[in-house]
Amino acid sequence: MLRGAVGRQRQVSSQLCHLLVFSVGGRRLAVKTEEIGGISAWVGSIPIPSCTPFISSVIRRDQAVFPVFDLAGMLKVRVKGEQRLCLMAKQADGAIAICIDEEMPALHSLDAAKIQAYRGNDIDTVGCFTDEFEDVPIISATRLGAA
Amino acid sequence: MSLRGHRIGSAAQVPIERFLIVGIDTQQFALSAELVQGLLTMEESGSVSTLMVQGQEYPSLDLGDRLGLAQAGDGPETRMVLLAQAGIRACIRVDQVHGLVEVERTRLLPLPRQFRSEERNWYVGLILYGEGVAVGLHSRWLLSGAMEGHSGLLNQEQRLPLRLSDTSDRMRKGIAC
Repeated sequence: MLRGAVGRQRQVSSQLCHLLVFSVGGRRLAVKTEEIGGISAWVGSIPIPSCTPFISSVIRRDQAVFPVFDLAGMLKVRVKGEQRLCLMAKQADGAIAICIDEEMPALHSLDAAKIQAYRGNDIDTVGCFTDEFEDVPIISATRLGAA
Repeated sequence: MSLRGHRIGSAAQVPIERFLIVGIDTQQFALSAELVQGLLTMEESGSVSTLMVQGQEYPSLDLGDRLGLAQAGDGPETRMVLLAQAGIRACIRVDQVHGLVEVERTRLLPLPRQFRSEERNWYVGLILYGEGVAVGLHSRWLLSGAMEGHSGLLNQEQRLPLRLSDTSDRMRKGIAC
């Protein structure tokens, strides 16, 4: 029984975590792929007067409307590029759109054990990982705007 | 009086609601047609804080200010929209009147739940209009800042017709009395 428990622990520690690494205002961030609904071209948002922090516009996709989370505003940066992208994040309340830099996001897999605590407090994360350049915060897309 | 306009939806049996689509700043808003008593050009309304129309007072409500929108100067499309419900009257200045639409109730999209603050009391939902979205304003909230009228419940016969004094083609297509 003890052996079994140890085995499970090893299995968990070597579990791969699949991330999408993207940038907003040049700042690199990551999100778990399971929290992503898709990526497409940014089509422009429609402002909706609102008191909810960082949620004050929507985008229309055919017959559907999705709220937009202003991640750049929260990070106090400006989204870069002319061909911006739209990252759709899954939330319990429905999908939410995020405008991100035109730089194409990249898939990244790492051992879940390599996820460390994120020291910054400017964004709600589930941790961060270190690549050859820097610490990359892993945001919690499901909790964006929930505060 | 019957109001004609664009219809959004298809099924004949579904209850419909009529909205007047107006523009303030760069945004489109939908006012319940039940509220709308008439439209006045700026020449007709003048620049007074309370309009007097057919013996009824319509205090001016600054909707742009309540919603934190930019205030544009008067233009050829600027209108005063007269509103009344349950004896409460008000008029709002809009930059443009886009037209009247009939919307099947099922096509009135709820405000996404991620909008979780005070604005949930402001809006009845979202309406797909043209290539964009018009925000349906809650009638009670809209008139909440207005003074109580003197004559109690509004007599529906006192309602002014939606007039076509405008030169806008959009208006002609959108609204008829």
